[in-house]
Amino acid sequence: MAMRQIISFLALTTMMCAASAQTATPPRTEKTDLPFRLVSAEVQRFERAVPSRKGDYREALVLKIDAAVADYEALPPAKAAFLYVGGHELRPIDFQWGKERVIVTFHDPQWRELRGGEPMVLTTNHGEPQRNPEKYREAQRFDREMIRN
Amino acid sequence: MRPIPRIALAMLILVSVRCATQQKTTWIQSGVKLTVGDPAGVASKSLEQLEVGDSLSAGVSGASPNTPVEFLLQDDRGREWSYMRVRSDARGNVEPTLFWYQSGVIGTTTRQIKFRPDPAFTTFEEADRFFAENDLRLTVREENGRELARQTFRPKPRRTPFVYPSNAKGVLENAVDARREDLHVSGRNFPAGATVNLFVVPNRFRWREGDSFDVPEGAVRTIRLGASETSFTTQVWDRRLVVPGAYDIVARIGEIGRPVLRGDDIVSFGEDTGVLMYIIINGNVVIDAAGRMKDSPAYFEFSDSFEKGQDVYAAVDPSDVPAMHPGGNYAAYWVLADQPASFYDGVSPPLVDVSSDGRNIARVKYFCINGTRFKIWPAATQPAPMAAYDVVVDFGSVPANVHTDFMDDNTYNKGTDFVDGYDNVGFWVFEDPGSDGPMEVGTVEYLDPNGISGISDPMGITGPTAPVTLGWARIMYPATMAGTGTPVAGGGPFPVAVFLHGRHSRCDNDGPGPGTAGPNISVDCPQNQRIPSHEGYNYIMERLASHGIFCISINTYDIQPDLGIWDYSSRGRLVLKFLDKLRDWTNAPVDPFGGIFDGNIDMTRVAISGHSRGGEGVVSAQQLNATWPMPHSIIAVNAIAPTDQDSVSWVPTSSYFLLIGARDGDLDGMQGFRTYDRAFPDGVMNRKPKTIAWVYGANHNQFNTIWTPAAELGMPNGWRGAVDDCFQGGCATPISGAAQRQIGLTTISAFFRWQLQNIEPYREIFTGIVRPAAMDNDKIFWTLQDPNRKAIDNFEQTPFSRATNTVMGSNDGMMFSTWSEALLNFSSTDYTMTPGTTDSAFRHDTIGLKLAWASPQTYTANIPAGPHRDVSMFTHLTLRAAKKVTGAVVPGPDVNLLVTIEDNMGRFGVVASSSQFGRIPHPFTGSELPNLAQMSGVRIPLRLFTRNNSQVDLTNIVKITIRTEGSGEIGIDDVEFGK
Repeated sequence: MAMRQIISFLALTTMMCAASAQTATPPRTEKTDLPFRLVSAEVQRFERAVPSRKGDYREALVLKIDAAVADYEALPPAKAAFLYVGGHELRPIDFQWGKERVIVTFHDPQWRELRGGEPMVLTTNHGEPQRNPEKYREAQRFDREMIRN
Repeated sequence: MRPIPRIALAMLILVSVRCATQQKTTWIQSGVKLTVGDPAGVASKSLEQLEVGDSLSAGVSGASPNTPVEFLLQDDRGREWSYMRVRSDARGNVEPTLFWYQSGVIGTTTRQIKFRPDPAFTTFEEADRFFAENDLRLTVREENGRELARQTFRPKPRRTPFVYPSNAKGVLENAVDARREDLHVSGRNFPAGATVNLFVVPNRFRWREGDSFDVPEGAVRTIRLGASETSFTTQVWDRRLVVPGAYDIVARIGEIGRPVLRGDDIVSFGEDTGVLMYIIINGNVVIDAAGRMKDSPAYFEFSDSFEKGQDVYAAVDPSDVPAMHPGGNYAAYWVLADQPASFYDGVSPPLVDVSSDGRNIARVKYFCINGTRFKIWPAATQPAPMAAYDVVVDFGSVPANVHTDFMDDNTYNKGTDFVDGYDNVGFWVFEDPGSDGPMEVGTVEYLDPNGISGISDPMGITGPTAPVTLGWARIMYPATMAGTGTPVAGGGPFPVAVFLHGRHSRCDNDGPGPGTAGPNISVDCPQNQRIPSHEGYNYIMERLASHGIFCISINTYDIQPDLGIWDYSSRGRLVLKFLDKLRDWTNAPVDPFGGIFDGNIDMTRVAISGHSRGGEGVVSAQQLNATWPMPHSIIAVNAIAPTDQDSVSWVPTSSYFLLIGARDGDLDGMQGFRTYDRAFPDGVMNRKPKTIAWVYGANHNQFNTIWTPAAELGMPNGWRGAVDDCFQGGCATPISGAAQRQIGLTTISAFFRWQLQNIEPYREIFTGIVRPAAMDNDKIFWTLQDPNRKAIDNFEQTPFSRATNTVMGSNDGMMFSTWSEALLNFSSTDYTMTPGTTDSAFRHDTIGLKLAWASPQTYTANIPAGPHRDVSMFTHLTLRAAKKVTGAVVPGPDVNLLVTIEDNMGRFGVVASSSQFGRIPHPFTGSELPNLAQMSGVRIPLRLFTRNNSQVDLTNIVKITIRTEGSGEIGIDDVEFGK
C-alpha cells in the first residue's frame, strides 16, 4: 500500500513537473534586432526580371549577411527579419542554413540611391529604422566601397 | 389603560379608510408582485406618484414560468389605452417594460402621418381634464385567463415641474422637422420667478445623477420667469443650428452650473421611435417584420437570421401600413414554416403557427415602430439544424381597434394581411455553424516522402533550390461510419476545405514529451520527430466534415526553414499541388486509400484556409491559381493571423475572411490587416465579399491545437515549440485557449459553409448582428464589405484632397483640430503615391481620413447631383474606423459617432449612434505593441433613416454627416453605401 502511494506520488509529481514545464513561457529572445556581419555586396544583373512590391527589377545590389542560427531560431517564427539600409527595406531572398551560422541574401534594386554611411539594421521591428533612424546611430554603416561590381 | 387620544383615533380611522380604498382598487394574486411606475427621469416614480405627463412601465414576478402575460390598460368605459403581451422567464418574472407613453398624450407633428392612435390626447390639458374624472384600470393576466393583478389608478394633476419638446403653441411635438422648425420647449409647474436653464442633450435611455452630457451648439437657453409665471414655452434651438438626432431635455432651476446631471434637474422623457418601407407585390403587402431588440436609441433592428435559442421579435413600421388599410389596430403575428409565393397567392391560405407560443395578438399600428414590437418566438428552435420561416401579420376576421375585438380567422388574406417572406424567406433559425453535423466522419493520413514534385528548381529560377517533396496531410471527410478509411458517405460529391499551417518549430528533437530542445526550425529530422502542425485544425475539420465538406490539412515541413523569396509562393503551390491530387482522386479510383474518393470530391467548390505564413500562402495559392496549368475553382480564402511580408504582394481575389487576434505576440504589427486593405479596391472586376473578425484577447498560436500550451489545451502537448508568440504585453488580458478555438471554429465554419454550401444566413454572423452563443461575442469586432457597394469616399483619389471625396463631392471638416487624408501605415507601403501625412499608429496599408477633435464637431461628405445620389439599391451605410490613442496603455471608452444621411429636401430621419451598429473600440490593452489602432466596421441600416415617416428619399441623398462626441482622434476609411 505504501509503495503504491509512493509510486502514485512520484507519478503525480512527474506529471506536475511535466505540466509546469509545458506551461512555462518558452525561451524567446527579447531582441528584435539581430547582430550580423556583411559578407558581400555585389551588383548583379538577372536574366529574368525579379518581381517585387515596387515593381520588377533586373539589377540589384545583392547583399549577403552572416548571422547566428541561434539568433534566428529565437525569433518569433512567423515574423521575418528585414534588413534596413538607411530608408531601404529589404526582404530576405535566400537562406543558406549551416549548423551554427546562416547566410541570408537580400536585394536592393534602388541601391544607386545609397550615398554611403546609412545605418544597416537587421530587425523584426518592421519599419522602425525608417521611423526612428536616430535610434540606430550606433548601427554599422553601409560603405559604398563594399560594393563589388 | 390610557384612553386613546382623539387625534390618534382620527388618524386610525383615516388609515383604515385608505386601506379599505386600496383594497377596493388593488387586487394582487397571492405570491405575485406587481411593479409599476414611471422609470423616466433622474428618480423613478411609483404608481401613487404618477402625474399627468408621466409614462408607465409594468412588470410582474410570481407568474407561471415561460408563460405569455398580458398587461391591459383600460378606462372606465372599457376603452383600451395600451396593451402588451410579454413572456415570463423561467422564474416567472417579467421585467418592468415601458408600455404607456406620456399619459396618452401624443401631441402633434407637422409631418404627414397615416395613423393616429385612439384613444389619445393631443395636449396635456386634455389629459388633465380627462383624469380629473376618470380612472384607469391595469389588468395583468396570463394567457390562460389566470388573473395576476388588477389595479385602478388615476394620474394626478401635474404639480411637479415638467418639461417637454413642443411647438410654438406649447403642444407636445416629439418629432420636429429640423430644417423647417425651431425646437421649442415648454415647461409647467416651475417656481414663479425662477431662472430656468434648458439644455437639449443627446438622448439616453436611462439617466442617473452624475451623468455628464454634451450640449450641441446653440442648444441651450436660460429664461427668467415673471414674478407670477410658472409655465413657459420658448424657442431653444434654432433650425439653422440643429443637428439631427434623438435628444432629451434637461431643465435646471437656478445657476447654469456644469453639464453633469444633478438630482434636482428635470429630465424630459426621451423616447425614439421608428418605421419601415413597404412594398406591394402581386397584391400582397410585403414587409420586413422579423427582427431583434436593440438598446436605445434604435430599440429594434430587422434581421433575418437567428441562432437557435435566440428570441425572435417582429414589428410593423407605420410607414408600411398602406393608406386606407382595412385592418384594425390589432393583429396576430403568426410564425409560419417558410412558404412559397404560390401559397400566399392561393385561396384563403390556412395559417399554422409553428413557434413555441402560438400566434400572438399585438398592436401593429402605432405612430412609432416600437409600439408594435413584440416577441413572437421566445428562444426559437427546432429539431432540424436549420429551418426557414415567414411572418404573417393577420388582421383577423374583423378590424380590431382594441385587443379584445380581435377575432381569429386563421387564414391569410391577400391585400389585408402583411407577410414577411412572400417570395423569399422571412427569417432563418440555425445552429452554430461549428456544431456537430449529422454525418459521420472518416479520416485518413496521406504520407509520401516524394509525394510532391514540381515546386523546387535546382537552378533556383522557377522555385527554391531546397527540395519540397514531402506530401503529408490529414484528411477528414463525410463517411458512412466513423473511423479510418471508411467509405465516403452518400450525397456527394462534397465541396473541399483546405487548411495550411504556418511557420513553427518543425522538429521535436528530444522526442515525445514537453519541449522541443535545440534548433528545431532550421534543422532536418526524422519523420517520427517531425511536428504535425497540420493536425492543429482537426477540431474544425471534423465539424466541417460532419456537415458534408471534404477537408484536408497540409503539412509544410519542407518549407519551414524559410525559403526566402520562394517561401510564400511555395506554400501556395503546395496547396495547388494537393488540389491537383484531389482532382485526380475524384476523377478516377487512384487515391492511395483504395479509391474511396473516386467521384466524391466536388472540385468546383474549393475553400482554403491558412494560418500565419500559411495565411499569406493561401492568398498566394489563389493568385497563382490563375496561371496554374489547370486552375482550380477556389471560391473562398480564410487567412488566420496572416503575414504580409513576401517580396511581392499577394492580393485576395476570392471571398476573403481575415481572422486576427489583438494579443498576437508573433505578428505584433498586425500585418494581416494590410491584406484586407488591398482586397477588392474600387474599380476591380468581380469583387467578392471581404470580412474581418478582429478578436481582443486572441493570440497568434491558439487557433492551432498543436501550437497551444498544455494548460490552454487541457491536455499534454509536447509540440508547442521552443518559441511562442506570448511575450511581454502580448501575454496580458487573454481569452482562454478554448474560447479562442471556439471563435475559430464558429467563424471559419460559418464562412466556409456560407461560401461552399451557399448558406446565406451565416453571412449575418459577419455583420455582428447574429451573436452565436458559443462565442465570446463582446471580444469580436466585425467588418463586412459587400461586393456590391458604392464608395462615397475611400480617400484614394488623386490628387489627394481632404476637401474632395471619391464621387467628387465636397467634404467639410474644418472645425476639427486634425482633418487630413493620411497613409495609415506602420511600415513599408504598397502605394506608389501617398498623401504627405503618414500615421504609424494604424497598422494598416491604406489611405484614409484622420480626424481629431477637442470638442464635438461635425464632418460632412456631400454627394454631387447625379447618379451617386441614388442609394436605394443599398441597404446599409458602412464605414471603417479606429480609435487612436497615444501615451500610456490604459483602458478607455469606445468612440461613438453620430451619423446621418440627408436627402435633397433636407429630410434626414434619426441620427444613428455608430456604437449600435459596430463598435469602434478603445485599443486592446494586452497587445504586444501599445495602442494598436485597427479599424473595425460600422454598418448602419438605411431603414433606420427612413423609418418613422421620415420620408427620407434614398434616391436622392445629398450628404452624409458624421458628428463626434467629447474629444478624441480616429482614422476612417471606406465611407460607403453597401449591403
